[in-house]
Amino acid sequence: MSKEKIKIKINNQEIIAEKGQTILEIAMQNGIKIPYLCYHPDLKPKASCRLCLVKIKGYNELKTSCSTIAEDGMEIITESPEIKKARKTNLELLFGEHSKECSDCVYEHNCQLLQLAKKLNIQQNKYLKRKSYLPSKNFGPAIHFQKSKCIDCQNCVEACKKYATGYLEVKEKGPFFRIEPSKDKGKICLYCGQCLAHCPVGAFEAAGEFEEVNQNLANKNKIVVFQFAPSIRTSIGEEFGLFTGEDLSERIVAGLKKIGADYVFDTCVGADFTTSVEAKHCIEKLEAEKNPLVLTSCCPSWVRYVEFYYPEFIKNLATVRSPQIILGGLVKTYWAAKMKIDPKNIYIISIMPCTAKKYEITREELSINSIKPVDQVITTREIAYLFHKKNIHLLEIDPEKPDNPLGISSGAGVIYGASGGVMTSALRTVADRLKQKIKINFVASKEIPGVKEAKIKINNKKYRVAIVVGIAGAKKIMQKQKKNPGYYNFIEVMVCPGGCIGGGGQPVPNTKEMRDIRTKGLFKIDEGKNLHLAHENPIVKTIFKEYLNNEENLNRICKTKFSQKFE
Amino acid sequence: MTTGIIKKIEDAKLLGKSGSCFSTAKKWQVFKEQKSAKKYIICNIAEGEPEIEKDRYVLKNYFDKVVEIILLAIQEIPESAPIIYIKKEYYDEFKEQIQKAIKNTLIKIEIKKQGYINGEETVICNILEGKRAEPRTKPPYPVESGINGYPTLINNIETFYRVWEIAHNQFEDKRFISISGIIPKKGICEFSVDESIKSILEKSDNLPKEKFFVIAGGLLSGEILLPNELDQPIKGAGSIVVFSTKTNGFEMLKKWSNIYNRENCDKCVSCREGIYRIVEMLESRKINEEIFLEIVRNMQISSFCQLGRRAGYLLEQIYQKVYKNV
Repeated sequence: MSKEKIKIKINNQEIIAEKGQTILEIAMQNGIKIPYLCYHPDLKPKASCRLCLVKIKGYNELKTSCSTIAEDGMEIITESPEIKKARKTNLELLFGEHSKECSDCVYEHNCQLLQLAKKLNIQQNKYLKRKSYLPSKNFGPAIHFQKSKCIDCQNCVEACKKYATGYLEVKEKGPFFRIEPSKDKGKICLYCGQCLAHCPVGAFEAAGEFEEVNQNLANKNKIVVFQFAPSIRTSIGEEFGLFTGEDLSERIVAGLKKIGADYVFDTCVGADFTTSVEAKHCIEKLEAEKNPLVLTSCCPSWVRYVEFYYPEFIKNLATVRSPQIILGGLVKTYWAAKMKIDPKNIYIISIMPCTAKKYEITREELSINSIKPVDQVITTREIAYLFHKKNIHLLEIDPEKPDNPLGISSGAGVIYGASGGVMTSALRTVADRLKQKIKINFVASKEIPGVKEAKIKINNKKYRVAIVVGIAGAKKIMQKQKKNPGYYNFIEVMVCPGGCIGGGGQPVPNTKEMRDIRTKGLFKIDEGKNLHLAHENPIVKTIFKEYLNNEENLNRICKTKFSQKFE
Repeated sequence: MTTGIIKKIEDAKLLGKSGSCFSTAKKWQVFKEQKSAKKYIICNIAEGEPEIEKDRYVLKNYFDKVVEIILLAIQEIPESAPIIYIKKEYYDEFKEQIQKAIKNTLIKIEIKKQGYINGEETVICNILEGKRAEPRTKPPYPVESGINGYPTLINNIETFYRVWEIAHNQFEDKRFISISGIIPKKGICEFSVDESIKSILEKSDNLPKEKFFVIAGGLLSGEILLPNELDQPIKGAGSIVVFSTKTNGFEMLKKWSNIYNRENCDKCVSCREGIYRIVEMLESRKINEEIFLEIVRNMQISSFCQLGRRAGYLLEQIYQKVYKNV
């Protein structure tokens, strides 16, 4: 059934729109630009920044287009001296809240506040910065919150509630409120970074260690090895004006070489190892237990959630290391030995879509003979910032292939970057190993938003699998599983919307529209590959044969364990 | 089609007595037409405007009649749960009387927390849901989607009382008016809704001898009127506060902006940051006229809610009519 249509006028232009749409949505669909800061299509309209103001015939006051549902016959004006003046005044007032540190702000190139300031030609320092005295706060090793930049839009609070644990709260302080981390001991930050993905002014940033990276790049005794996550390749283009989800792998490699990388490997190869081990883990569980439950463990925010909130399910987390950790481990052992390099002289940097990966590398149990598999994690936004700083324009440089032998993955490794990718990759390998066809037909759950379910048949037995995005859905799934043990058998959880392609460290705007484009890009790469099975990747086969052929190596490179966390 | 009591309210042309002057019959009818298994009816005794006590007056004198109408409303719209939302001071003062009147009824009491904006209907919905006290976007109006998304009819206590008059054929379209300030006979009086302010002051024997101005329609949300502007009925809340022209305009600006700074919800930038910058300016004791007017006029056209828009308006009036003219 088609939706009811209405007819409105924007700037005297007649427009047919769907009933129920906001003025801003209609304007954007029709190429009419209205400035905004606090609007984000993932979230409910807050109407707090007062920039998307428009004039509706019949009203004295201006209305915010983000929150006003268009009605049949409405006549709307989006530009006039009155509107411009109000937007300017509000933007100048907003600047009074935002301490400017643009020169070393990663967000500089994307800062909507700064772009609007230039466009509306406002006086940026009209008012004294009222928050400049406020201290910054770090959330673990992952996120840096500068309260002195916050414009009180509350997007982070809603995003945190929607995708994570509701760790960010609104606290009343004197005549104002302030965004503060929760003091509730029963709540933790998952480090997913959805706060920063939804902050319009860069008040949240990934805790970056550029100094350490630059020192290592300059140090001639260090072999600097980069690896880059599956989801980066179809998203980083956005930082350079390319919004098509095109595969930029070889340009990323070239860019990294330009900033001084000695070697660049592909985390997708790590993902092929993760899949192979995880599939084996699943098959063992299927054969040993009547009603097994396996939870994926690639998303460090999800792992942290289980370890804190659902310790009774820790035993169900797949005991396999995430792709960046396996790849880092192989570089510092197998590859280092081949190359005759002392692993202590190797410095590994992962380019990740994710702020929680910064936390993952600090987990003690991942060390191999007291050496960390990965030394540093940098987000997509951060590496783009470094490229910009060094005047490297990804679209204008000659592509280069990743280094061998850890540079070519299967298609399964690439789709790890999107929700459902880990599950799909694992089931492909399970099916192939068991020489069966597994039909999977995922259906969106009517009961729980953000969840897709499927019933599959393996060895003539039925199993129920689920793909989950966001903690809200995950929590409901876990409650269901608790009530009905055995209900689910295999659950993939990613905290960020759309999976890693919607990660907290990804380019902004991190909207559904962009996430869909990034996802399509990843699946296109998979389609274009001859190899779709992780365990069939020649380098995976070689390393399993040559190096991971004993329990000791397999355990220290590919396996891990989890334990209850109390903070 | 309106029938029964709603038809009578419609014929009486009753307008809500909170100050918003919305058609009560229309509000009840829309509420009645909502398809929902659960609804709420709220009698609002929040009375947030300082120095106004007309709701207290109705509570003290006519509460039984108010309860009668709340019960009639539930009869008319049976899926509704009735709530009395009341300022703490009033509840403490009239606790026994209230409890006696609602005994054996389904009426529940919700005590309003201190706060100027906590009487606004969408703020009430947020508070009763346990959320932060800030207004919501309208539409949807509470009668369509209020507490937890259920239709919620919120009327001022005086509105219920006027419905009682309608139900008992005693309605004369009057309203209660709270008169205070530098006048001899402070208190509550009752006048026809179109009685002019001048006539109210004369008939209540309250026309001051000295030079004066008034704030009519709510001390924080009304407007300043000079003696030559009193030939009109009150717009907004039922109150008149009389001031001497000797009032210090600067101190008045300071007092009002400090109250707004403390009492506003801080949701939107126009009001939150605007008021703060006014307070900051007044603290420095130097008013930059251009910036002052830019901010208060911006509040009037771009604040999220009526309270921010009214605050901007009254601050501009205090500036023009009291600060500059004295």
